[in-house]
Amino acid sequence: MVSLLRFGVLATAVSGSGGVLADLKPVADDELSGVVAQAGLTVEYAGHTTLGQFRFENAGAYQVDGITMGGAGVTQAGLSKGYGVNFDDTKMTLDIDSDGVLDVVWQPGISDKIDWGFRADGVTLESSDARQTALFTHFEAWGFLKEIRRRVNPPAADGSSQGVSTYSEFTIENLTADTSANTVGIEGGYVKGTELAGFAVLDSTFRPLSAAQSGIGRDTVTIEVHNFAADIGMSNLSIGGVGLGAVTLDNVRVTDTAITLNH
Amino acid sequence: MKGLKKIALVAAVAAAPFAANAEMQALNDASMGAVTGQAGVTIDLTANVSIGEIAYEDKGFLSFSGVSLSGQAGTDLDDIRLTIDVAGDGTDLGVPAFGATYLGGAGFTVDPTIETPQAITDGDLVIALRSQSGVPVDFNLSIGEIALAKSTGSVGNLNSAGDAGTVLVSNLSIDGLLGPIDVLIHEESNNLNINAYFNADGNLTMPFIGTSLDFELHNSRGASQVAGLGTSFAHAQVDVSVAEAYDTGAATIDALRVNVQDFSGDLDLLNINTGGADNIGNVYMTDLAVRADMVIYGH
Repeated sequence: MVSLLRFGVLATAVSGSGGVLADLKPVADDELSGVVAQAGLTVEYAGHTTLGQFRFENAGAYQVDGITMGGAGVTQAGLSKGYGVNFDDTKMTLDIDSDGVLDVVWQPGISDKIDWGFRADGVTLESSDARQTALFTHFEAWGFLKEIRRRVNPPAADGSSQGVSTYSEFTIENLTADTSANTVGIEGGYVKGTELAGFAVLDSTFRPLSAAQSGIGRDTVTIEVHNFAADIGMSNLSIGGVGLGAVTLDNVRVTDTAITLNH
Repeated sequence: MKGLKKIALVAAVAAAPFAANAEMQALNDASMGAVTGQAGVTIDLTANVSIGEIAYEDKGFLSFSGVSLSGQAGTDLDDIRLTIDVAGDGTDLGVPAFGATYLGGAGFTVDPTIETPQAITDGDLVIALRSQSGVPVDFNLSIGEIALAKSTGSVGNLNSAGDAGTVLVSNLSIDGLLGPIDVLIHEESNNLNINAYFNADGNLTMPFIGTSLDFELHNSRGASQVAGLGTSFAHAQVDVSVAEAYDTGAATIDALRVNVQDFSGDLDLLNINTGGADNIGNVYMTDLAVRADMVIYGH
């Protein structure tokens, strides 16, 4: 009960503040100046999420049904390797530095990498008149996460936002989708890296552009890919149940590329 | 004048012990023994809360400015009834039914398995929030800005017109309804359990990524629903406790443990706008369910 007693003391202190108001003394500036360099926050997280349906609607729709996100054990392939269903052994640190820059970092806790998994019953495209095309069925992917660093950048000198930058090291160890007559089938899909101990790298920034900056005459957003490096492949790709064979892309690299939304 | 009469009554009751002081008599053991099973406290609440700024200081600051909590459409947050009991044998509580059981009795369709059952035992503190009228309590939560600021910023002035740098969120406004909310602090097991039903309908702008959207959190679609009385509720049950002698890898400490036993509902992100003439579309998430266990500490 130690800590609840502390809560009790706190509650008493809060409720008693009216009574002891006369005893309050202002904190002098020199005392306040000693209150710097606070410690930031660490959150150790374990959990998983299920989502019956994710549906993005524009004129038509993109729909994913029966989603589970968590550890590699949410997929059959990951489970057979002994991984659990929770995205766990993760440590998130949150710090705001003296320049007002927010850093959020996800890293493994005890081990050297975090296993992750994603599965969905199906991915469907739908036209505006409700005609549907099944893109994938029984889509499953699992892999490892070495690190994700997200930084909310300080504003530029003119006050405009410089957005949020994300650096991640990850792998997709195995990605599968059923081979059937109506869908895209994938066997043995992977995204890995030949550098950084086998991890793929994605370093990007998402930021808004004003009408003056965008070159399209209106406000929009841009994704700047500073660096993407990976080996990508699959042991078999099929379309409509017809196998097209293996796909191997080694040393794929994208640098200094900006994708600007124009709509 | 109804409210003033209540205040006058409270003042009279508070002053009464002094007037009656001369007539006080000592209780003997026999009469003391009969004093059991007290009734607890009921608070009928009307409030309107505004906070100019809430600032979290790390090295720099994270600030919440222009915060207000009220009813919808500029009204007071009202119609709230809080019952507070320190449980005895469980028959002396201010409300007879909690969470899903309460909602089921009010005509809602609800799957009770989304809740982690909580046994109320002798000595537990039980706080229940209900409406006085029986219809859900309406609320509005507004935050003018959530912003980052340098360590040199002045507390009380950490907004975009003052010392703030990057504005993460602006013009956040949430209208919603509160269903039953139950808080249980266990006397023996060193934890606090919050079991809440609510919905939310709002909008926000995120200037740092040039995006704005509307959102609705409810539970009216899919296989899992909590619906009735013309509305529906998302559910959150959180267990807060102390992870004693927790090994962070760097030290052994007492840390805060937050176990999200259930967060479930349907979440819609609507009219997503990233600049441009048109919105890019809507996202509908049906039967979202999150389970998570978190240990939180400073570093």
